Amino acid sequence: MALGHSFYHDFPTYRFARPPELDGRRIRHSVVIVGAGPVGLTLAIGLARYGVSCAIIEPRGAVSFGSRATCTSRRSLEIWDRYGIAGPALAKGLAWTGGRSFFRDREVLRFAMPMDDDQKHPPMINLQQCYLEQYLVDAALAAPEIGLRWHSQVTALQAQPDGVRLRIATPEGEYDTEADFVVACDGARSFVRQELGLKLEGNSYEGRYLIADIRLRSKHPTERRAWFDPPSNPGSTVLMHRQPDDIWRVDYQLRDDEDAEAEQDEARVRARIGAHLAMIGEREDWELIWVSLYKAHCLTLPRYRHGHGRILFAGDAAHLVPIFGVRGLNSGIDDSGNLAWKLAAVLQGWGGDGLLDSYSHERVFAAHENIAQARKSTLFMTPPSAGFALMRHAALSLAVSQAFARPLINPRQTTAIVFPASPLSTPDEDSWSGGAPPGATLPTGPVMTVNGAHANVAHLLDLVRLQPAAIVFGPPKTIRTNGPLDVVSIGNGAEPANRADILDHRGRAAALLDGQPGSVYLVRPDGHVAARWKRFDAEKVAAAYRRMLAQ
Amino acid sequence: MGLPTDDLEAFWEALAAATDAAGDRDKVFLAKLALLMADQIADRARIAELIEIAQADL
Repeated sequence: MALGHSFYHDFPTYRFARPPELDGRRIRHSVVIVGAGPVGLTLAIGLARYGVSCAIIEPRGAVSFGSRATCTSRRSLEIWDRYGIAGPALAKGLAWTGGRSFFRDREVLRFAMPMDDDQKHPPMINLQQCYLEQYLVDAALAAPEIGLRWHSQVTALQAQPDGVRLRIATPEGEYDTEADFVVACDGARSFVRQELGLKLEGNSYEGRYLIADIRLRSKHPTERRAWFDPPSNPGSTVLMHRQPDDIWRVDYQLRDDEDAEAEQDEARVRARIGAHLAMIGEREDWELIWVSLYKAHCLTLPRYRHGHGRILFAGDAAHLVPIFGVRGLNSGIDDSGNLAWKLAAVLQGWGGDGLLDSYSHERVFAAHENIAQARKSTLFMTPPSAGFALMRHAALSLAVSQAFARPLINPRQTTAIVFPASPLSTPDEDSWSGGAPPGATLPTGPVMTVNGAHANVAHLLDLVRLQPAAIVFGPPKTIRTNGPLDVVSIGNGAEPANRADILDHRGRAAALLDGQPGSVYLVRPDGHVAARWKRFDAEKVAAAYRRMLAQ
Repeated sequence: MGLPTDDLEAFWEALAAATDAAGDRDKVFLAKLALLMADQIADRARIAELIEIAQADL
């Protein structure tokens, strides 16, 4: 329900632009992306960074409305940073690192997400999804490789061994087009998924949350607050997040005996939120801007590659994850970061077709991990039975005085997924006392880039850009590969001048990666470690490189 | 192993009295106590066994 056009109406709307196919031109796209939500846009921008062009087919003519997926994770920021588009979101979004939970009027938990001097990005930012989408649309419009086709809807598609044919409806008629690959990023009610006769598998939960944006001037800092059974809304759970522009996100649970229709009535929403604001001492006038209803689903397709291997699924079209712990949109962005380089590698010939199978393998695994974590949060946030409700009550009541019970309340915010059995990884053969094992994402910490007489502070993360990277401790090495590879040497200052690209001036790289002279990490373009060795061996690195790219 | 009979009896009585004292919060009181005891036992397999034993012959 969009109440506050006065606030969110500033976003641009886009007109239909007549594509060449409508005038009879036959076009074969490398990639057609169905859906210009954040997942499809991130994928398109990722592909464009590799020089791969695509068309995005989108029925709407503007970004979506309201805060929706308001919490953006560090992992998502890293992916956008690699594509050079994290800036606007970081500038506008509100960073936060922790929060508090209350049982009735007692504080029962303070939690903190990992944050220290090593980090380049905050663990989480709050930013209404409409802003996020607009920044991505702006970036997509600035990329000549991307054709953003608004007011266009896929009405049929047919996969063949050599590509996909699509029929697209527009305000000026229908046209046919072709693509080497189609990626379905068309959301929870994915047309592509239905057209292929595919079904999401898993569970849905009955518990409902009403979610709302309100405009409220408040001095309260940016943190996640949760109230269980608060005096203002007995029997309910209320969540609050600060967002930019004095907009607050309020989520509250509807009890099973409450009627969803009646509860979405504006006056009723105002009454419940008003009672809550009064309870927490907010005295200023406030305005209701947007209201929606939410139900938790734990669903995924069993595979994300279909249609002769030509149709791939990402984001909500592929999996639905409960809101609690903010794995919904963030897991979709992770899908796009995983798929962009793989599609580019396949289309440009530096990676094998197996990369696209690995996308399905890895991201289905990630969906199961995300669902397992989010399911635990869901059992706590919307207890599905009397037994779960009782045990939640017991845990909250104990947590007032007993520290051991507090982890039961922890909201389990999303963290980067580790792939313990990726087909692209080469297992460790050395014994390591730490660092990042194959399948994990590269940790980050401050290092210095050395360029002649100039030295600049950078991050370990920054050493991996769009190409695969070999991070070598000690002097530079030569590695022969059949494809792109950035070889980056990290020195500890003991080397002769200019013998290393990077100076580990605080020893953080060595500590975070358990690195010694001769150690080498082979890292994928999405930041996941593919292999590592204690001693450099060019042949072993080259073999792991071929495996990483399914060559 | 286990509590001496006197001690077990004393606990049995104390628990009955505390359950009564909890009134309509008796269930949550017992659930809290179960969580506290599970934390003290600190043995995942053992507490799973105890749940199973308690489920029998209700």
